[in-house]
Amino acid sequence: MSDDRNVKINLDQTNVSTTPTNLPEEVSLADQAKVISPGRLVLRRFFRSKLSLIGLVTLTLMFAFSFLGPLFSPWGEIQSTGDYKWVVSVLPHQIVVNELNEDTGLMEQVTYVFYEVSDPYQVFSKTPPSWTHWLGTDNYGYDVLTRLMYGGRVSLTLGFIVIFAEIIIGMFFGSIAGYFGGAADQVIMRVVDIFNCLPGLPILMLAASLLDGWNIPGNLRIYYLMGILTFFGWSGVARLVRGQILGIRELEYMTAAEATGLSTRRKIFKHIIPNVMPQIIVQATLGLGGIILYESTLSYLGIGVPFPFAAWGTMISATSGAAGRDVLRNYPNIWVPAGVCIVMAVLAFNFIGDGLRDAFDPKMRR
Amino acid sequence: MIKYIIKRLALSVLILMGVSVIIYGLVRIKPGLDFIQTKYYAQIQLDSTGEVQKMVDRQREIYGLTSGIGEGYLKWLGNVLKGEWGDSFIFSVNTGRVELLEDQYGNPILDIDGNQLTKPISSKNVLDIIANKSRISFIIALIATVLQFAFAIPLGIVSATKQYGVVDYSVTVLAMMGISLPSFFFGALLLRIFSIQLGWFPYAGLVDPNSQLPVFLDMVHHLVLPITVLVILSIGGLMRYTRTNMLEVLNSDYIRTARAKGLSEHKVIYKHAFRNTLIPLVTILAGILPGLFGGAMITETIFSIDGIGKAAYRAVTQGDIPFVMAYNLFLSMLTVIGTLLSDLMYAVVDPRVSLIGGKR
Repeated sequence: MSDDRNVKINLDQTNVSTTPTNLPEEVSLADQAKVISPGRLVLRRFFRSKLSLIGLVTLTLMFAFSFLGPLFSPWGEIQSTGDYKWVVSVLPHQIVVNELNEDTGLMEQVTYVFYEVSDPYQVFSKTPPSWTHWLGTDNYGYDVLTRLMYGGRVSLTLGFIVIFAEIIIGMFFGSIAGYFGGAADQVIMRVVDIFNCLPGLPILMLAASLLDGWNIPGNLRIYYLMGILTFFGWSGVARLVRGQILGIRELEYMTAAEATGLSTRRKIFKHIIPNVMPQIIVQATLGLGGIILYESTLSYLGIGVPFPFAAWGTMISATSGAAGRDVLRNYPNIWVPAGVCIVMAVLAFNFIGDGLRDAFDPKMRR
Repeated sequence: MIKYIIKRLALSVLILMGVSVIIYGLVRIKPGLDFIQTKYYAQIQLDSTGEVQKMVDRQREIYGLTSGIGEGYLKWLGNVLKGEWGDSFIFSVNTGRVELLEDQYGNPILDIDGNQLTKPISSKNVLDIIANKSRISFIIALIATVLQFAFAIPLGIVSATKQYGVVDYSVTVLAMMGISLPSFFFGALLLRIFSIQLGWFPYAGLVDPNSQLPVFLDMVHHLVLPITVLVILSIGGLMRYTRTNMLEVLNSDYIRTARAKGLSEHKVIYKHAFRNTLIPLVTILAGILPGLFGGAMITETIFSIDGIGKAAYRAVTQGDIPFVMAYNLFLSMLTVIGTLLSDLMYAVVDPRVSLIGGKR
């Protein structure tokens, strides 16, 4: 691909004269060349892919929706809206009476069924979509659209914080293992192996359900959840970083860095980490989707973000069990939007991650 | 080779030790009453004979809860190694064995025909429960896995050979969709559309006593939706994996040679390239071991299939810690075995990988 070249030389203007008289007008080759930094190059390749653009736009919209949306919503996260619908209840009754059959002249048992229809009464939950409540209200009379926004805040923020923490921890242990090798490597990598062998969802569920015994207030629980997700998630990053560093360590520029007598810290932070960053960024973007999935699954199971706080998973959990069958059947406006939000967010992160990987490593595309 | 296997085995044992430390630690660091005391709290308070207290103490002994965390871990580990994994709080299964009934003098109790009366022995032992419940999960997972491979590999190959074509883009987007779908949402959606709205498939369970179909077909009918969920959710990863491998192979020199020789494209792709993409796939094949026996927690729960996944879900929500611990340990063991197998298979399949003295 021609525009992948780092340096573009404008061939029309290369008729540079070497005579001293022309010196003031002389333009050096470096000035004529348009230098594109690697970062710009990556960005350019990234934006060329349609899928990553779609991902980026989706994600921007979702952020705006979750973080700016509540400002425009007249309702709160945990606010009964007072919206109601009129409902009549129908109670069937059945009576059996002895009656004279006029054709035969005999007494016969006849069954009558009649329905007792109540007066219309107000129900303050599960109202259908209307102009004041675009997605209706849920089981508790909360506005679904507003809760969707707050749920987005939880999922997106939690994802970013967890992935950030995972990267810090993973990078720390990974670079120690990769750079120093030997016993440190052995110990750290065995620990990483242990964490890799733990089953993902079941162990998260065990940890999250044990949280109940810690008597944690509902609004703090999400921080513990972050801690749990980080604790069981850092090993992937550590393994990635170690593998990358093992490769980089053998490169010539590292020998050069060694020869110039740089300190270990400088070598790691100035020369190795920047070269690992692209892979980490890709891994982080792809991992974000996974974390959002885990969080929403835990919330769905009722051991994640606790009620009354909104989370996408919690909103879908209204469909679970026998009690949820009514919601599942009759009120898709309560749970489908939340699911669509999860899919869109995770999909967007995956698209962006994929786009970034291709952009950082053009060799993979070919 | 043998030396390598022994080394790997030793390592696996070490890893499993670590896993057990984490699981035990998780359960132990909870402050306040431990899980057995919590479970029997009310009974202990109500009981005046002290029998309950004795039973509770006996149970706590199995988990080493009566001693400090370090000593307790060793005690528990010893019991686990002896095969004493504890009893589940909420499940019990028929073991298939029967107890011969006897009266108080040791004489057999007979029925009218002179046969000795028997009573089926039910077991609360978590190992029995895992063995019993994982059967149906295994069947489901096996079908799902076979279908998954049958779809994913051809699709992955097509999308690699026609890179950036329409097929490639649709496959990529579909694969991504599959990876991004939460199982609980996808399951609920399928139930809503195909079961409630259209009425094509039954709502829950595995067999319907009122069904007109023969039992086997009825089961198949019940399993269509759950297996669809499992396949669609997991197909994406495998498809992309195949695609990446295939792309890598297609760019190698020997493929260029094959093309230069004038072989037909079909032959190049299916005889030369495809075989080499199978090598990395073999490692996946062994890696799916936990998925095969471990069940699918969410999917089984949504479709009310009485497998090990649903059991684990119920155990978590109802605080059946003995079962959850055993389940986690069981899954970790499967993962370790799977990794071990996949490493060994890799050496068997790919002659370039040497295990002797090699560092991998």
